Amino acid sequence: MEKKKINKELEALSPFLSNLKKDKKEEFSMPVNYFDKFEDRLMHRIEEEAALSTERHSEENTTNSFLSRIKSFFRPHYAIGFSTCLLLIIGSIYVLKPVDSPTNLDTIEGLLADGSIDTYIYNHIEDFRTEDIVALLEVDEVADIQEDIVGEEALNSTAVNTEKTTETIQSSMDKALDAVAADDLLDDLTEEDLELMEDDLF
Amino acid sequence: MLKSAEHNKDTEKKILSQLRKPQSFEKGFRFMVQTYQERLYWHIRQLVNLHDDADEVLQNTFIKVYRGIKNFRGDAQLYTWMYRIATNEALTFLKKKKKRATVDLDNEESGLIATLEADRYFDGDKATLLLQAALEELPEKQRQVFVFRYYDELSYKEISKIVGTSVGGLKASYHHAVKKIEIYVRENID
Repeated sequence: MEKKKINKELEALSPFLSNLKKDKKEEFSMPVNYFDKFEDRLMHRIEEEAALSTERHSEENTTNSFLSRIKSFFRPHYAIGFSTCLLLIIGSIYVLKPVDSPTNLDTIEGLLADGSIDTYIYNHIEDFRTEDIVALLEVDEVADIQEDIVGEEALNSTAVNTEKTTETIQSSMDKALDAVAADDLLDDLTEEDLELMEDDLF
Repeated sequence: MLKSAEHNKDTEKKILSQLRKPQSFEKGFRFMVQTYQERLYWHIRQLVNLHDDADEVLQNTFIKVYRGIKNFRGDAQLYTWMYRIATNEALTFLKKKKKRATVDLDNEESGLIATLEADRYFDGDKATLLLQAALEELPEKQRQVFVFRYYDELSYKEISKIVGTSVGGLKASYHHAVKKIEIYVRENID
């Protein structure tokens, strides 16, 4: 009924096109058994797409849960705690900086090089205990100092002894001189003894 | 076409009832594909011309139907709803294909004719080739109405349900389309 109506309408509108009209199946074809196989091909594609979609969803869920965990970590009450911890860590790095850090070593080396420490110790030597100073010195350095001290003491004692000996000799000589009469000695001297030799002159 | 669809209202009811139950969903979907695949294929084929393109668009159409059938409220008839999806899919496909095409726009007509001539699933004569080329030249609305009326042999009422345009508007579009195609074919046939 509708087909007849359509053909009539077309004939009235354009007899030329009406004559050209053919059944589309006469001019257009498709592979053999196309419609028999189409349903299975379609269902296979749907299954494949469903599998892909599930995979994508699970990946998205993993990413989302990771992001939501990070987001929840940055909620206000967590964020305050996190910020406090961060500040404490940064602060402690500066406050509890190790003494032998490269910067400190450099500073000490600089002070040693320009003699600032030596000057300070020299000026405040009374503030240091001998044990503390010795503890800071190397074994060789201590040994050298000990040697120096012993040598000095020896020299001092030698000087004192020499002084004592000289005194003793002098007093003995004085006693001996006292015992010998000066006139007697002068009597025994000849003119030759009194002559000055060239070697005696300086 | 329309009559068979109207006469098959019981079939449509059966399909919908199977689709609404999860345990019979796949059975109902397969039944729906068997019922409408040929009609939809020919509708799409007239819009896209080549079999391979028609095959791709037909698959895309049914995939859209598969995904959207749960939201189908039954306000329209099932076949009307599916025709609408198929038409939109075909037109979208053509737009994408046009963008992808490297051929010069001026040579598009001869490009289509050459492609159809080379297609092993096309057996038409020169007049049919020119008719297809003339269709390509029409505005989208006129092309749709011409295919629905000339090839699918649907009533204006049915076309109106599918494309959402008044019957009067459709009649005017169809008349314009017929005149333009006649002029084009007459001018190029010899």
